[in-house]
Amino acid sequence: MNPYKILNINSNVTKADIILSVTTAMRARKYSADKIARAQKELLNPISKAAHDFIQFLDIEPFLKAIDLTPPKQTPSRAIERLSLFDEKM
Amino acid sequence: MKKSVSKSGAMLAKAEKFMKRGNYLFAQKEFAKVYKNNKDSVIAAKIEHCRQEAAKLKAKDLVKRARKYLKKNKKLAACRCFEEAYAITGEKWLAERIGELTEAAAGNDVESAARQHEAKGDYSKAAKLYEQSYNLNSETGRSLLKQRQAACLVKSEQYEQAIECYDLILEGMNAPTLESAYNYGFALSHQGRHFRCLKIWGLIVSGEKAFLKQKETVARLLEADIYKLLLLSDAHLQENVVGMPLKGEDAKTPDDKAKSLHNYPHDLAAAYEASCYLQSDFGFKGLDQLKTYCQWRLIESLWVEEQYETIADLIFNPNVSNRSAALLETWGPTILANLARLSYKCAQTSGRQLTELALYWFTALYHPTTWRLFSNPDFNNDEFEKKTEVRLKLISMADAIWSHAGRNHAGNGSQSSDEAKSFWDIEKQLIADIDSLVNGRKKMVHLVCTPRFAIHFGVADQVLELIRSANDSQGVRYFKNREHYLESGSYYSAVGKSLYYLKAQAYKKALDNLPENSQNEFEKYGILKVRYTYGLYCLETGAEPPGRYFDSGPALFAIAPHYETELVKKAEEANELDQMTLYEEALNGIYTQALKEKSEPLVQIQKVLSLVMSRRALEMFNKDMMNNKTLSITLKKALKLNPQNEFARGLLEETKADLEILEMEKALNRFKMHKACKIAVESDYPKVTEAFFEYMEYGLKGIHESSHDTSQKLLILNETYDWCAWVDDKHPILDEIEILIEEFGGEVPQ
Repeated sequence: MNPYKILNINSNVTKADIILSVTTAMRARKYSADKIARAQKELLNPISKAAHDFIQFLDIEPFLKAIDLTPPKQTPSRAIERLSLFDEKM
Repeated sequence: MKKSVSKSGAMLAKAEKFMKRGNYLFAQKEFAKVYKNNKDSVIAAKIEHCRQEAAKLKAKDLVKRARKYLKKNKKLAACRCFEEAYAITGEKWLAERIGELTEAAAGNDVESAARQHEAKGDYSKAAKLYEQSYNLNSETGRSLLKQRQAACLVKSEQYEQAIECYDLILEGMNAPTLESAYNYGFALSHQGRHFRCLKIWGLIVSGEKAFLKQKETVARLLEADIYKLLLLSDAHLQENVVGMPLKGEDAKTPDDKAKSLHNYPHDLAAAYEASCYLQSDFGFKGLDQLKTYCQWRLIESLWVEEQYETIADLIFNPNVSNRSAALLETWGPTILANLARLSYKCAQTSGRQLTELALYWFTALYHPTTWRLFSNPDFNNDEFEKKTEVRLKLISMADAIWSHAGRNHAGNGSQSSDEAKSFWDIEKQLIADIDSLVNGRKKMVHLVCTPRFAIHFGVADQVLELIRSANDSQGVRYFKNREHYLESGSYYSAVGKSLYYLKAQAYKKALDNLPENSQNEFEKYGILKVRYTYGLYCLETGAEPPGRYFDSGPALFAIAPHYETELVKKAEEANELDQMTLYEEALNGIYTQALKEKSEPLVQIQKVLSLVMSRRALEMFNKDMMNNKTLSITLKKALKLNPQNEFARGLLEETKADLEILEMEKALNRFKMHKACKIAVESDYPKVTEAFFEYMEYGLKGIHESSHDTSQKLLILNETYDWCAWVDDKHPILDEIEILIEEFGGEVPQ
């Protein structure tokens, strides 16, 4: 169970946000009331919230930051001329 | 008049004859001549029949001619023949064929017009005419018309339409000509589809310098496009159309992020594939970063879409270059948490990647970089305790997965799942110990890992050093006892694999995986434990004779005395003969080894060996598998091992008495009375004397019925009296003998 997905919220939310999101999730009827209640319970408990914060979010920022995406300096002209060397004889 | 009638009859006969032979034309003529003089309706009908049949034959002939023309590709002449035939028969198929031929003829005209325009360089017009000709032509060779149309479209710079044409050609599974392949790629390149262009040009095998140079140019354009795409995508991720920040943690909701990533995985996957292609086919250098970036972005989007298995295939698949080990080598602990998360998610959603979960989970949870992630603003002063609780919560969440996996695998004989669970349990304890040993020392945090992780990533020796450093001469400075110390180290040593197998109760595998020689104390301990446990396994299952595996016993007991206690308990509980025999063999092996090693005397083992030996001997004796003599020897041996063995002692006493009785009975039966009396006199056991007198009493009872005469009877009675008096001169049997002597008129001995 991913309580963040059920409540459609991200990890940096307050307790008030969590409670508000329950109402929204109930209205959306995407998940059962039981699942929504369990998701709320999981996130209102600081220990299990911290555990879910660890499990539910992949952290790729350190890897992206380490990558240099500077394009090569010399990029050829975009246009190329058509070659006739493969043309069939008429 | 008569002559006229006969002439008419002859003509009629002639006509009938022609008709019969199928010569309808002549038959019709003859019938017409007859009808001229005789207007008979029957003849009229025959004339009509012959006319119709003749027309049919003509039509048939025309179709035949038309087909001949078609074979010679004379479509116009053929068409005329079909038209004539149709005029006769009016058959539908002929009309259809005429239509087709008319169109083809027209198409040929259009095609030649198209060629003329192409030759003149009016490619746009030529393309239209080729298309017209293609539509008119329903025969083979249409694909070539399409390829000509596409070529003209390229030459007239109508690239999009040209691409559509080439797509159609390829859809029809028609192999493009060299010219078409080149033109197709050229059009694709002009439309910015460089990757597809290069793939199409890959079909052309050519060493032409101009072409190779052009390919290189397109490859460079593709490289630039990938950079552009990634930079644009990155910008797009950071700010969506309504200006809402979406990147990473800033995305308002997971749904928002998922929406922003719609189709993104496809682009990223294509970019990744293109990067790989440029690297492999064009030898472009410096694309590793690009590839890695694509991969990470792809993984991110797949994560949002919960496609964990796809990510696992990318990361854990050994056939993929960026597999987890390589990633760990590159990224170190930064990636560890992600590998742990991924394996957790895979295990949770599909029950797969359990091995990876066991490999990464604990190491990730105990790593200081992860420890920092457990922080929460709500954890005020007692942060350490709370973070420890988070770690325990995560461990229990993963434990739940194992329980679930265990239930799912229960009964299906999934050994690997059971093994993985055993490993999980061991590692849970081991990593907690190593964490305590490191105790937050920064230089050593990388050593807080599970044994398999340590071996996999080459830090096992460092962990062993760490364990040694926490040891005093008895191995108890940190560890509970020496066994705890050696056990912890052995998992990180070369015997670790065997110990895992042992834990999973795969005893044979454990034995087979032992190293030939031990390099250190941990390996020595591991070997002892595996050999000893395998011996126990043999003892209980009878897999093979266990004796030789118990030579490890004394050394192991010296480290871990509980093994000795456990064995003693089991040996004491053995009550079946086979079981006792095996235990005796095992205990004897241990005892002999201890003597060889001159180690501390194994008092418990010695005592239980004595007990099992005497019990086994009795059991064999009771089952007539052992005689008194062997029993006595065995019991003496048991008593030598343990003089306090009361069981053996009591048994031996009984046995000795029995042996004397046996010997005495033997002497009595042979009338060696002196010997018999001597045994009875010298015996320490009353049982023997009693047996002697019982024998004598039996003899007295039969004296009346014996066939001896009175003097002989008196002689026997007197001798019996002497023997009995020698054994016991106060025994009541003497009175009985006296009465009998008197009865027979003898003189009572004094």
